[in-house]
Formats: sequence, C-alpha cells, structure tokens
Amino acid sequence: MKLRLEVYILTILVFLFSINIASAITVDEIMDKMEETAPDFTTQKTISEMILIDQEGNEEIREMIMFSQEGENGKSSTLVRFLSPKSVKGVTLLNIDDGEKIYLYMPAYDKPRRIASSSKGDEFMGTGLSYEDMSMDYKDKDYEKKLLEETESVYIIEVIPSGEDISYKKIILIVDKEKFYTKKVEFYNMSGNLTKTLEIDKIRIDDKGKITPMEIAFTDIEEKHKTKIVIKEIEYDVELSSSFFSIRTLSKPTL
Amino acid sequence: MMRKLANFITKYARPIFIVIILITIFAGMQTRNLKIEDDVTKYISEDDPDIKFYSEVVEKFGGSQANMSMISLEYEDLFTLENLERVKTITEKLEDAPFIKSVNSFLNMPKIITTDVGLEVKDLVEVFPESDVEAKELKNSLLNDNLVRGKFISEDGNVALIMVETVHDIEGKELKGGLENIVEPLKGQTLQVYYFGMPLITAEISEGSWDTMKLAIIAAVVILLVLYFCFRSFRGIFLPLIVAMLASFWVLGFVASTGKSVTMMISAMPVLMISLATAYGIHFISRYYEERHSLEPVKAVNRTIRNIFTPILMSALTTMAGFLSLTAAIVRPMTEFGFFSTMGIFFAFVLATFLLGSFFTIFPPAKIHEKFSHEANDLITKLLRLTGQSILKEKKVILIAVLIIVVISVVFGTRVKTESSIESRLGKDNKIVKTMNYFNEKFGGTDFLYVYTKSNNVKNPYVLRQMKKIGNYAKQFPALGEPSSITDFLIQLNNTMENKNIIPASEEKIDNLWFFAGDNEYITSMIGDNDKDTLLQIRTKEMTSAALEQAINQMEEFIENIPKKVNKIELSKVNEEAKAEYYGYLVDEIISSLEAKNIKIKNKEKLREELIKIASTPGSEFEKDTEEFTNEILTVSFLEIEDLGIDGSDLVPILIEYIREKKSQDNLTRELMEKIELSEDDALYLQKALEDSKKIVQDREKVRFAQTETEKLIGENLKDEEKDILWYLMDEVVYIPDDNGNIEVSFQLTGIPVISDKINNSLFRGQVKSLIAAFIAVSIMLMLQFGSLVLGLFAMIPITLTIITAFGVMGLLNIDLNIGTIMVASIAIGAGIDYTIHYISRYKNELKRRSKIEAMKITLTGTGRAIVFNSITVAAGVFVLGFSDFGMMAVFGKLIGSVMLLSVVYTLTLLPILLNNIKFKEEAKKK
Repeated sequence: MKLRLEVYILTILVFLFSINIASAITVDEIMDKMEETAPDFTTQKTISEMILIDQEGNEEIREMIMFSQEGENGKSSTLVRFLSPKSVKGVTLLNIDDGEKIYLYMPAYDKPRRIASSSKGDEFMGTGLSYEDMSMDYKDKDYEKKLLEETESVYIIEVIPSGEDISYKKIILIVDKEKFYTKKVEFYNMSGNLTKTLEIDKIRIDDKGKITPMEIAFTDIEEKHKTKIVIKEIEYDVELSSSFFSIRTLSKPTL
Repeated sequence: MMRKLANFITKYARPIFIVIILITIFAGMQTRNLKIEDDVTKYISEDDPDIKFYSEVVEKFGGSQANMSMISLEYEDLFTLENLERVKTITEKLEDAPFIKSVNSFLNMPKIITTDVGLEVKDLVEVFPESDVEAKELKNSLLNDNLVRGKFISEDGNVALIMVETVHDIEGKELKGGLENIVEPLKGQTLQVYYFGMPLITAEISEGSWDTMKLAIIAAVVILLVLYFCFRSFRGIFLPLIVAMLASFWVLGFVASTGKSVTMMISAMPVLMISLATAYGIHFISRYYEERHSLEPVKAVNRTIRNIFTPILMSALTTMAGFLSLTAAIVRPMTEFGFFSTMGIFFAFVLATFLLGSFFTIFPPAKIHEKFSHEANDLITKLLRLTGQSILKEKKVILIAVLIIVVISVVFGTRVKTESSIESRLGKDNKIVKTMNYFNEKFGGTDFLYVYTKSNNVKNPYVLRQMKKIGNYAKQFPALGEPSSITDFLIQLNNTMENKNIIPASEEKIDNLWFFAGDNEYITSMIGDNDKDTLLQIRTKEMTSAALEQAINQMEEFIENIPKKVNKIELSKVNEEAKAEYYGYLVDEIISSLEAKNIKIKNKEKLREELIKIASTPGSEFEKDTEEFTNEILTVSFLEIEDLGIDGSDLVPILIEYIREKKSQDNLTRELMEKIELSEDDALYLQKALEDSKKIVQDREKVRFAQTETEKLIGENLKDEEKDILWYLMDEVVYIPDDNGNIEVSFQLTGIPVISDKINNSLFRGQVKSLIAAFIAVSIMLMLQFGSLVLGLFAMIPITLTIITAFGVMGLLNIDLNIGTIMVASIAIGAGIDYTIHYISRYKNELKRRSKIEAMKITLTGTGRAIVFNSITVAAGVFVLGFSDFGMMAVFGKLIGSVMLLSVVYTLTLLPILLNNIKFKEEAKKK
C-alpha cells in the first residue's frame, strides 16, 4: 500500500542517523562518530518530493509536507500531507506514537478514518524494504557486525542478522570515512544475492557539522524499481500546537 | 510417354529404390520433431482482426491462454491452518520455480481489512491466519469477497485455485512434470488435485495424437485381414500397405522438417492414407501378376506401369481434389489437413508406381501361375447378381426409396449444428474434458471472456459503473461465470470509506481510493498505460457453441446500448429546475443497473417517477428524532467523539432535542459547551462533525425509503447489492449521454470464447466453400474423362446423394459438424467418386460388345465386386479411428467409413438405372 512509505518516511530519516551497533572496537568507534553527526531535534518540518520510477523508467512524482515530533515518551508522531499531484492533493496521514494509531483523511470523503497500523515486517511501499530495513534498528539485537574493509574514502561494515524471521543473509553498510554518514546500504537475501540498495546521494552539513540527507534512493533490484526522495526544505524544532497531532488537524485546509 | 516412364523406372530401378529408401530414412528421422498443438487462436489467420486484437490484449494485460495453467487443490476442509499453510507453501515454491513467470492465488489478492472505524489494504498473505479459528474467520470473509469467491476459492470453500503463468518456451510435458514435482510432495491430504491449461492440454493432445497415429498399425492389420477375406491371399497385400504407410511417413517427415506445428487433425492422416491409398498398390500388383503370368520380369513391370499409370493417376487425382478442396476453408486444421493429405495421396501414387516398379525390377518373383484375384461365388457376388437381375424391374421402388431417404435426410440434415468447443473436439469422455468440467463446476469455467474497456480515463466513475453493469448482466448466462475487474476492489474500498457498496459518482473519490489501490500488483496489472484501458474478465464455461454464441450476441447488444459519450453535470452547480431533469438521467442509470441484474420491472414509468420524486426530496425530510437515528449519528462521529475523550451516550438527549425542536447550530454548540463542558473550539469542532454525520444518516434514511418503495413497485425484495444501487440517488454528479461529451468509452469483447465463436461461424462457411470446390473440381474431371457433359453430371448424382444422406444421419444421430466431421463430405466426394468412375468405365467398355442390360450385369458383378471390396477395406481401416482418445477423430473415422459404404450402395443401385437412360456412342459403334 502506497501510504506505508509516507507514514514512515520521516521515521527513517530519524533512524538513519541513530545506527547503534556495539561490538568490535573499530565498528563501535565508527558508530559513535556517526551518531555525533546526526542532527538532534524534537520537531521537524519537511517538504519533499517522492519520485517513483518503474521498470520502464516512468516517473511518478508526489510532493508532500511532513511534520514530526518526538514525544516525551520517546515515541514519535508524524503528519504527512500530499501537496501534489492533484489526485492525491490533501490526502493526509496522521501517525501517533510510532504507529500506535494511524488516521487517514481523504478530502473527497471528508470523514477521517482510522487505518490499521502496519507491523514492522511490512513492506515499505513500493520500495520492497521493510520498516525494519529502513530503521536499521539493531540496538537490541545481537547481530554480528564487523569492519570488512577500509578504503581511502569509506568503511565497509558487514552486519549478519541472526534469530528467527530474518529476511536477509547479510547487510553491508558503506560509511563515509571523512563525514561519518551511511552512504549506501546493501541488502542480501537468504540466497546471498544483492536484492535491494539504499543510497544517500546528497547531504547537507550545517555549521555544527550535523548531516541531513537531502536525496535518498531505494532500488529494488529484483522488482527493478526505484524510489527517490528529494528533500526540498527542512526545518528543525518548529513550533507546533499541543493538539497538532490529532484528528482535527487532518481535515484542516491549511496546516 | 507412358513407355518412356516405364523404361525410366526399369532402367534406373536401383537408384530409384535407393533414393526412396533414403528419403524414407530421412523422413523417419524428422518425424520425431513433429510438433502437435491445438491452439484455437491459431485456427484462423494471425492477421484476422479478432485474433490480432486478442493477442494485443493478452500481451498488454497478461493472461494469454497459451501460457496459463491452473492447479486446483480440493480438501475435505481447506480452511484449517495446516491446509492453508500447504497451499501457501505450494504457492511460494511455484513462485520460485524457474519455469514460472507469475503465480496467482487467493493469497495475493488484495484484502481490505476493515476495523470498526478504519481500514487497511494488504495482500492476503500478509494477514495469514495463525490458528484454526482465524482460518475459519478467513473462510467467511473470503466467501464474501468478490475478488476471491468462485475465482480462487470454490463456492463451497474447499477448493483452492492456483493460476500459473509460465515462461513461453516450456513444453507441456516438462511443465506438467515440473508442477507435479512441486505440488505432489507438499499437497498433504487432498481429495483431488487437477492440472489444467493450454500448455498441459497441448501435451495431452500431442500424446493422444501420437496414439491416434499408432492406430495406423491396427488399421493395417485390419485391412490385411479384410483383404485376405476378399482375395484369399496374403501375397501382394503387404507391399501396397507398405506403400501407403511410407506415403504418410513422407508427409509427416515433410511437415516436421518445416518446423511448423500442426493441429491434432494430422493424426488421422496415417490411418486415412492406409485406408485410401492401399488400393493403388493393389492395382499395380494385381496387374503385375497378370502380366508376369506370361512375361519376363522386367517386361512385366514395364507393361504394368504403362497400363495402370493412368487409372491410378485418375483415381489419385479425384481423391486429391477432394482433399485439396479443404484448403478453400480458412480454418487452419482443415486447410492443413487438406494440404498434407493431398500430398500424402500424391506420394502414395508416386510410390505405387516408382517403388513397386523398381522393387519388382530388382526382386522379381518367380513365375506366377495362379491368378491373383480369382472368380468367386461368395455372398457379395450373389448379392450383386441379384441386384443386376432385379434392379430395372424394381426401378420405381428404388427411386421412390431413394427419394424418401433424400427427403428425410434433408429434413434431418438441416438440424446439424456446427460446434468447435474442446468438448466436441475431444469427446465428453476425454480426460482433458473431464478435468475441464471439474473446473467449470468449481470455478465457473476455464476460459475468460474479456470486455476490453477503453476510455480517455478508465478511472472515471461513469466508465467503472458501466463495467460493473456489464459484469452483472453477464451473470445471467449459464455459459458465463463470475466477472472480475478493478470495480470490485474499488467498490469494497468505497464501502469501507462510506458504507456504500457502489462505485462513487465523484471522480475525486475514485482518485482518493486509488491512493490505496495504487501499488497492489493485481490492481496495477489490470490498468493499462495512462489509465486508458482496462479489462473486465468473465470466467467462461466451455459450453455448446450455440449457448456461447447466444451469450456473446446478447452481451454485444447490451454493450451497444450503453451511451459511449457522456458529459459530467455537477448538481451543485445547476438550478432546481434543471436538477429535476438530471434526476431523470440518474434514475435511468438506476433502472438500467437493476435490469442488468436481471430484475424484471413491470411498471418502469411508475418506478421512474417515484424515484425522481424521492431524489428531489430534501434530506431533512428523512430526519427522525428517535434514539435509533441519533445513535447512528454518534456511530458515524465515533472518531471525533473519541478524539475529544467524551462519552457518546451523554450526547443522545442533546441530539434528540436538537432534531425534535429543530434548533439552530449555534444552539447546539452552546449546549455542548454547557452540558458536556467543552471549550468553544472543541464544541464547534464536535458540532460540525455531528452536523456532517446527521446529513449522512439522513441520506441513509432516504435510500432506505427508496428501497421500500422500489420493492413495492417491482413486487420483490432486493438483494443487498441491488439495494446499494439505490445509493445512486444521492449522487452529486450525473453523467448524461451527449454526442459531444468529453467522457468517452468503448467496450469490445474478446477472448477465446469470441474466437471460438468466430471459428465456429467460419467452419460453416469453410464447409460450404470446400464442398463447392470439391464438387466443381470432380465434375470437371469426370466430364473430361468421359468426354460428356451429361454423363459427367449424372456421375455426380450418387455421390451427391451420399453426402445428403450423410448429413441426414448426422442430424438424426446428433453428430455435430466440428473441425473433423466437417471434412467428411469433401473427402468422400474425392474418394467415393472413384467407384463411379470405375463403374462407368467398365460399363462403357462392356457396351462395345454387349447390350445395356448385359453390360450392366457384368459390370455389377465384375467391377461392382471390386468396389464393394475396396469400400469395405477403406471402411474397415478408417473405422479403426473409432479407437482414438479424441471423440472427434473417432466420429470422423466412423463417418468416413459409413459414407464410403453408402457411396457404394448409391453407386451400385442408382448408376445402373441412370446409365440405362443415356445414349452412349459405344452403343452406336456396336450397331
């Protein structure tokens, strides 16, 4: 379902920088450095473009505005509204407390509806990556990680998932040596073939050295399609009213 | 010239013999590569517009019958966790198989999961049950799901269907093995498992065709026995049989070496060749033995060739003409069979002279004393003598009898139906047909009738509603099964959004719904580029062609009556007066949609008036100050009430009063602030939500009222889906027919059923063309040979009557004209006319020396006996086809056999009478 990507888009951006893998010392050091470069904020406003590219190279562009906020409970809430194309203009999704409740508002129907929240294993719309892939939330998992290689410009880290219900044999992270951010992630399926990649093509570095990815590309090698996210505007710590992340915001014509 | 040819054959006997052996070895090696398939779409030219269109459609949307296979798994109880897991594992394993392109089962159908206040769209596999209880819940929900029930799960809920699209180049046999290797170890305790589909049918047909070809061996044995019975001698019978067999070998080898595939009809050829062409060799050998009686070996061969070349050629030419006339039909199996059989007869003719000529030159037998065929006093001879004695006396009786038979035949002959269904081709006891019937019963068919829908935007509500209507209309035909299209999915989604089981009239709503559907694989696969086209698929049972034709014609007529150009009118933008007019269009759409569901509306005008009246009544008229009404409002506002964290029941008295007293909205806001203690902001928010919900509940009441009124007027209760059509009354948008309308749509039927129907129709035309061609060709040959126009025409009478009688018998015995039986008449003209030729030639010869009566008697016992033997031989041979696994071949064989026998009866009874009335120049010479 297309909305899944939208629902989580922001969450990913957040998670991408909080990769926390603790094992070998070198890997550990890299991770620490990476964490340092991630921006910290409680609220965020983003205007971005999502470009879906299919097998034949046809592009479908959607523009959206997103608000997110990390609550006191540590869970984040997001609100995503589509700005274009016309057919989805005004469609708004509200995700409260990491998907505990998700609401959908479709302007043609006027009444908001609650939609079932998706579990972590679900596919992340069109991209073929799951929520878990995107979050790379390995903190509590005893996955084996090791520094495979160190080239002039990057570190190549291998993550071997373990346990039940794993979908990948291995995951390769390519980390920029100078700036300490993940440039590319490669996902290898259970037969050991590269099936999906996630690349960060463009970043923005602020005066404090914090890095924000501005262009992200997901490629599904098996299904031969690609999704690009281009951040057009990003603002941290914007002011939002206390009832902003509630149903009534859904149907408001302006946010 | 004959002399030159005879000299050539005897002179170069060895090289000729060696060349023939080499060609035979080459042909034999080629035969293994013979490809047999029976794809209906290849029956008529690829350039045929219907075929082209079908190919384009399946190319675009997939689902080409040629690459589709289905597997059905029947369990005592499919919906147990264990069995569902099995189906799931099988589906997954199939998906991984290298020879499979895609797999569809209920597991990857989009599933809309509705919660009390929301929804979610997932592939079914994502919400796979985790216990038997959940499995049972899934069963209930799937049996109510239009995308699944009767399509991927049988109506009784115990058979799962898996549709498999295979890669292009896999052989049917290999595919079947591949599928079985995956399914069989995993299936568990199934009651029944079936495999079906074009690639598998092709494999079965190919196998069955080889079996049918092998019947040639049995036919050879049978003919051997019959010939022995006729001639009391085995000598000289083996070689003619070998000549006929080699001829079919050569043809099969030739066909195989071209690399083209052939239809299963080709499998009848070897038996037919053996039956029809053995005579040429027999002619040669009996003559040779006669000559050898008094001549040296080489001379005997030489003399034999000179004597028999023309008679055999003549006989071969007429038979070839009969076969060649089949090519006049444009239906591939006929054309192909005609062409290759012509070639076979030609080869048999060539081999009879060249092979036998060279053989007897190289391997001369010892001097023969006895005659090959000896005079006998058997039953047949006696019978023929009797015929000769009584025929002219009983002339009237015979003619009247023939006349009666002809009249009866004409009456029954008109009843013969053309039929091109698989069942008619393979016979109802065939394995494939039995499997097909299982799928018909459980899933409403194995074929699809497609309604190709093209529009400037197929997501337009008008277009979608028409598709739904066409699908509903199709359901009334027994030949047609469940329709499926994107409309089902959109209707389900709309239902979860606003509790209406309809396609909404607003384009914006469809756009919004599409947001959900957007990347579901099934849904995207059903829509063409730029939303310009889509398919409505209707499962189709393989029925009699007549039933199918009726369904297709009526569907076409129904589609014809749907306005193809409409304009959108937004009711909110027109004045009250104009609205009344537009309500008419709205109501017309309701009525036509109800009628498409096969509801008979007696008083249409009255219903129309009533519904227009209801449509123009404002919603507030349907408001009620009951607790029920208010509770419904609260249910609709559930999310907002929950959002505010208040108890809905506190709102009931406030709302009842608000409605009863018709209080203002400000008043309601104030009440909410005071009694529920909401802030002004919250109260305004809730008031708006309640007001919106009230409108929704008013609409529901209005539609309920319309349902009651409609039921009263049509005198029957509406079913759920029919009731929902009345929601159209609430449409804010009306689509009105307009020649300059900017919403354009066209519908075109296609699919195997349409092609079958077309083939069926061309079968009849093909038959007529072929018959006329055969008739003309053979008549001309006769006239040339006998040098007389009248005699040529008279000679055609017995065979013409034979054909008429044959049609009568087919009508009487309910034998359909199918791809096989349709060829019988033309073949019979070509082969049966030989008897007439032999008879007349001998008769003319005898006339030189004898009176008409004497000539007749001697011709009857002499030539008559020979042609009776020949026809018995031919019939015995082709009757062997009766053992074929294919019903059509069996009937084809029996029919040809019967017709050949019949032709002899007509020849020997009618010709003597007819010829008695003609003046021959031979008579004059004698005098």
